[in-house]
Amino acid sequence: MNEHVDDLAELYALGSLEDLDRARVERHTSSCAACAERVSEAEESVTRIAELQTMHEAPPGLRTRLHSSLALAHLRHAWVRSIPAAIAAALVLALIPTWVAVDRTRTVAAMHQDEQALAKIASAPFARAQFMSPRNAPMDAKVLYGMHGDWYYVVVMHPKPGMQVAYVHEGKMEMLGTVATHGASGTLYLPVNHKMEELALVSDGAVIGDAHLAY
Amino acid sequence: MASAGIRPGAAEERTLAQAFARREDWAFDEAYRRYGTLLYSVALNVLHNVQDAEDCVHDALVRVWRNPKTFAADRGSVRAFLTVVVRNDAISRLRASARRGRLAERLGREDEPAEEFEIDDFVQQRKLRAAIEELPQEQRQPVLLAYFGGKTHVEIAKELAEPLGTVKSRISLGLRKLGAALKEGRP
Repeated sequence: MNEHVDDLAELYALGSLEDLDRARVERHTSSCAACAERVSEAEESVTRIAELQTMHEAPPGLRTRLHSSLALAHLRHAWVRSIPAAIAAALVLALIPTWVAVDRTRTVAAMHQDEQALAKIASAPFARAQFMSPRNAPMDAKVLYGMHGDWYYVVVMHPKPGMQVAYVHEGKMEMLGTVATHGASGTLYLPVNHKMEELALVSDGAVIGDAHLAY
Repeated sequence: MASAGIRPGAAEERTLAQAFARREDWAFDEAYRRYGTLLYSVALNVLHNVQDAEDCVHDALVRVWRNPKTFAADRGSVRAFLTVVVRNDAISRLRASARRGRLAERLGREDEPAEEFEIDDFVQQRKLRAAIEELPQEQRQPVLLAYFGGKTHVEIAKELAEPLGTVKSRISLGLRKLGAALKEGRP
């Protein structure tokens, strides 16, 4: 949009523009001080209306969720440093089978873990964090965790076979377990009594997502 | 989130805007501390669903923070900027929902005519109601349809059977009058 926004300023602030026009206004105001000022005045008017409407307390988990999402900028660099460690850890785990083997025992164990997780979710306060891909796109994966860092429950949709969950700390990764698959979803319950601030999803030795946890 | 820069005890809006534009982490925290309730309320008042409202605020703020070009220090107040960003996001979600046919199911009033928009249905606060009532009818109706109806100016023009340019001008003028009245403590 090369033309000034004129009356579109108020329409923009009111939310009366279609997405395409809205994006054009945003692009134009990023380089036109006069239009930015007019849009800003319109935004003030809309905000004055909004402030006179019913106020609702934001849910306490929202701030935690924002922190988890926005801390990713720091993680990207950590991933680069930790990839060799991740590969090494994955190789070690491949050589030493863990308690999660692909057989009936695993299924029963996974069901038991899910029951434990559901009991925690039902009875204790918990938070959640979204796993994000290295490109900062949200994945169909979350971790629910106790506010005291005493349990973690990772839920992944369409997990890759053998997908693992790792604890990321000071540029190193510690594998915690393998996601158990149930149809289209996968879960892993971790009764770890330790506050972990960063978890990663690892598949074939590569980090494919991570989540930041806040307490 | 790591802290960066000096965090004043009570950052003034201008200081906050400058720090927010520089993407200093404390500015995000401070903006959320100050305006989190307002932003969540704005989203909830549009979407009427707590989970949708939370997702809306989360996604809008993450998008703003990850895109350095969205806010410049001389752009205006962080409060108003974020309010409109969140509100626009909420309206987009509502429209997307309507396109999928869910809005009609939830609200059951998709096809209500413009005449059924009553101020008292939406506005509880006397000051706002009085300011809206001060607007000429020709400006009041499109502003109400835009703000409380979440309609586009094209939809409003069609609904009111008025030329698009006329509707744009009336909405623009109406909002400016409303903003001025609320700023001055009138009517």
